Amino acid sequence: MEMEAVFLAFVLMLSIFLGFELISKVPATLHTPLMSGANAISGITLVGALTSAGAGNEQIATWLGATAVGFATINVVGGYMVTNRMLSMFKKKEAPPKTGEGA
Amino acid sequence: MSLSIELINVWYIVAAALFIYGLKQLGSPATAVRGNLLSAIGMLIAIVVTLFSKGIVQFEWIIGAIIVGTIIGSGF
Repeated sequence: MEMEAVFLAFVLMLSIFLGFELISKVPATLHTPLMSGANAISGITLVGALTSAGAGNEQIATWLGATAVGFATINVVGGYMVTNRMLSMFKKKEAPPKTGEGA
Repeated sequence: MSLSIELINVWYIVAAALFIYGLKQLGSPATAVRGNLLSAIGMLIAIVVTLFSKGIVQFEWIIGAIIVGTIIGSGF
């Protein structure tokens, strides 16, 4: 039982180093799309909401879980589409403005 | 048709790998669009695999909430 905590601490340590290395050399112009993409990834909580909404508990729990699924889906879908729209402004190497004159 | 918890977590590893590689590609202007797409594919895998888990017994509310969320999130 304690060994599982050790393995998880191992994963935590590796993820800290990995996250640091992934983020550290991002150029300044890509900071905003990176933030937006990371926000969309954080919508992985949708998986937890799916488990709550589908578990067949009482009606109020299912309804709250479904609301959570709805909001999390807005977060995920909107996040990836907004990031894609930001990145589509990077046509060439010289940086055009990265936030919208569109929409 | 539900999958075992081990198989589901194996697919979670695949999704995590896609997240990590997509986030790495998001750091360079040449590959950033593809990185975003890879990350989205990883998210899709994680969601679809979760729907096959044993813990989910009723789907009506889930499907409805996902449809509503997708419509609102995509801006239409």
